[in-house]
Amino acid sequence: MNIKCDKCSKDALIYLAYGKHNFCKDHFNDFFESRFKKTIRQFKLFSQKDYLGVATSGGKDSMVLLYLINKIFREKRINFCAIFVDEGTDNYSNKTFQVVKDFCTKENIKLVTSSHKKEFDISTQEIGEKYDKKEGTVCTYCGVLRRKTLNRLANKEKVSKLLTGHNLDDECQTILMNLLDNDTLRFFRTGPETGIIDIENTRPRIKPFYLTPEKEIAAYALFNQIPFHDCNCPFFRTAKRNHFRNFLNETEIIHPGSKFSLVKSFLKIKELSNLKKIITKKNLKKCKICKEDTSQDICKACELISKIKKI
Amino acid sequence: MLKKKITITKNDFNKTLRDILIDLNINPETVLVKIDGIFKPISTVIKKETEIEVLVVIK
Repeated sequence: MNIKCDKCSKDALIYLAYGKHNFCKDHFNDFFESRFKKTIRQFKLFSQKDYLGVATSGGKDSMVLLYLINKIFREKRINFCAIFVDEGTDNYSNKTFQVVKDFCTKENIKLVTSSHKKEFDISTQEIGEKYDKKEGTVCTYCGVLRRKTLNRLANKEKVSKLLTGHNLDDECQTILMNLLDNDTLRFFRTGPETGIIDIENTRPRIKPFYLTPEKEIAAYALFNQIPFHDCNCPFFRTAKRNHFRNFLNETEIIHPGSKFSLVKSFLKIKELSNLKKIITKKNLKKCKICKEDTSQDICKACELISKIKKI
Repeated sequence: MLKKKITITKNDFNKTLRDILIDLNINPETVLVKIDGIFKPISTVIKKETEIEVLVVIK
């Protein structure tokens, strides 16, 4: 009954349908880490000169990312720190923070933190109790504030690049969502590196898991006993993205490799479109409230906070 | 992490874990499987009555 690894005589732990690979733990680790390094090289995501800020939420994707950066690049003398944003969600944020803090302490990784409450004088818990459902879900607010806080922390710490745990599945969902929303600007803005790179107060966001399926990240975490927090945020609701997640996972069963094909097609389209940066310095203004860079008169974070504080 | 225990009976002998999961309306793309506490690939063919533990890793 035991399936053997394709590369050795040990029992296989995992089957990867898109390549018809059966791997034992060691050869899966090699395969996973090799693709991680290849993605960084292929898209030139960072170099030895960079100081990396690893956005770490305590979830499996960001914890595996932090683990790998520590494992592979610390000895190559690449400087990095972990960046954690406390959204201030009761009975949740403290648990996720503990996972991150314990790991950073154990591995002697610098940890930089802030919170929504500290930056914007409102926590996600308070938003959850007051927000107007017509404006979307709590995630709408939390996501905007989290990105802004990450940027502020990255600036304060003077990191040159911000790493996130976005994976192949996330990217496929985003590509489809933007396409079906007819949001061509947003469609072309996504990719393995996003964000404006020639503006002093904004750090490019890079995604070393761009070509890594989410299931394999989970497998890597479990096989290697990497700590992560597994429970959903209490404000998690069924979102539009879930419909695309389900569609992609169902398609992948019937046509293994579909997710890779989708992303590769998207990258070719992006290259052929010859679109570089959609927003340049010329289009940016200073937000009338926080004075940070924005393409509008008031940035999205200040707009949402103003609305919620009026309720 | 959501975990489910499922007993595979003789009706499903000689099927792969992948096919068994699909028959149970569980998407193999979203789960990892253990048998006797050890991870098993979904290409595994079941030949005897077995209890499997399904870990839902993608919600």
